[in-house]
Amino acid sequence: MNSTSLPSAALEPITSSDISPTQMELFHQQGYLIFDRLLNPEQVSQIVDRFEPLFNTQFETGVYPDEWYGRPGLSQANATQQMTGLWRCDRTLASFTLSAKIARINATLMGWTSARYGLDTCWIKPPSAPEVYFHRKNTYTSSIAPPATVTCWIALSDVALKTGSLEIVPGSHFWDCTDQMRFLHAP
Amino acid sequence: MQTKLKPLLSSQQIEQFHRDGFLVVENLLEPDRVERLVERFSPLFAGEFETGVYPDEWHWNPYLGRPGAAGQMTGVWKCDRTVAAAMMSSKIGQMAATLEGWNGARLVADGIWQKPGGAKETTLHQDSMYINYHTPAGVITCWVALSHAVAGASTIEYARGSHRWELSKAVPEFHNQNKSYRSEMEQAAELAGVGNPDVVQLTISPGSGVFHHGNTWHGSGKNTMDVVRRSMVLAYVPADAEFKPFGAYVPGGYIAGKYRRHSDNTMDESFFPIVWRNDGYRTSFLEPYSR
Repeated sequence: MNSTSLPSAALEPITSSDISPTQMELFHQQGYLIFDRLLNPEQVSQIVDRFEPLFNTQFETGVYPDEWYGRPGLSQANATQQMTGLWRCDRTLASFTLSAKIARINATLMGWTSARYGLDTCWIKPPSAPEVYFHRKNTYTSSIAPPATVTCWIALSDVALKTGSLEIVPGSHFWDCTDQMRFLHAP
Repeated sequence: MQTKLKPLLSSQQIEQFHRDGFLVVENLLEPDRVERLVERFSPLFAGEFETGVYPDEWHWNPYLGRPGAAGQMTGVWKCDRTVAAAMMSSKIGQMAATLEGWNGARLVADGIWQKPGGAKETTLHQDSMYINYHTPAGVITCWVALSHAVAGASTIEYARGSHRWELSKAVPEFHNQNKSYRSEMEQAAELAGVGNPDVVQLTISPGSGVFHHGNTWHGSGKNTMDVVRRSMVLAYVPADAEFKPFGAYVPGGYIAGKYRRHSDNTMDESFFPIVWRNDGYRTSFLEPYSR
């Protein structure tokens, strides 16, 4: 596998020391924290260019993904396309999803001394794509000890409410309840 | 210690397998087991996994899927114990090993397929295109009908004798070709000097199946009838197989390549269990499936 280091320009503005005490507090209060310019436009293009071959069964390594929804020919035209386990299929994507820099930011926010990769995934929501159920990542990692997860969600296009943007309930990480694992697409 | 075994297949059947590249074997599964397996299809394709573990591949679900499209799922034994009990059959594994002359059979992949009326063709392919990263080499697959498999309703079809042709490059698309589903097979036939390949569409009753060599070209036509064709697939490699030595990833690793530990060529029995071996050995966690 190629080096997982990002190109030198990637993520330079952010280091662990750039996460201020205020940002840390905000993350723990809200349950999320937004970073601007995590990737530059060139890097975003590099990632987006890989999606068409992947969803058309052209896997650069010849290894198939862990999950794959919205396969052309078998799916409705407005189906959400989702693929998980990208790093095994494509080394360009692996160079981003296995980034030590992103992992370091995640670990710093959680107060961990290191971060172990859990999974990667991409989402493509065409016009009229159905909603995605509200869920909590920890529900899907309950078999892991310690059962703690942190996720970095990166926009690769302009996202707005009408284009299926990510919605988060601030403070819901404090809710003391258990959820049922469910299929996330098209509730 | 060598166990005295009652032969499950005759020498004529073994000879036929090596001549044609495939062999039909009747009554592999009892009718009640077929019924129990068929009952699992709807929940599985709807994402209700009895064990809570997701499959390796899951193509088509009722929420995002196009009505009438084919459904395919692999790695199903991990999701559902009813399916696992059938996939871990020592009898089918023994037959596979016997046909290949191996001392045992290791399950490398499993799958279920459903093709409703109107479902498109499945491109003819060779399983070795997707399972060719291990040593000693060799793949044998058992395709089991879980409904009446007949011509016109997308039954399995084979290019007779094509196991003797060269292994071709992986076909670009299984489900959604914009050309004839036999075209890649026909190109391979031409390269092999076979002008008019003998394509056989089999009639198989539920619970019966067909074993095919890893290099045998096979696929299925469009389902033109108002019935759902259902089947299950069990693919084996030799019991003593391990991964060939590779670097950071297994080139062309398809599904199995995901389960190779870095710098370790072992095919871990946790993912590739030995379902039958001629000395009586069987992967230990399969015990609940042996009753």
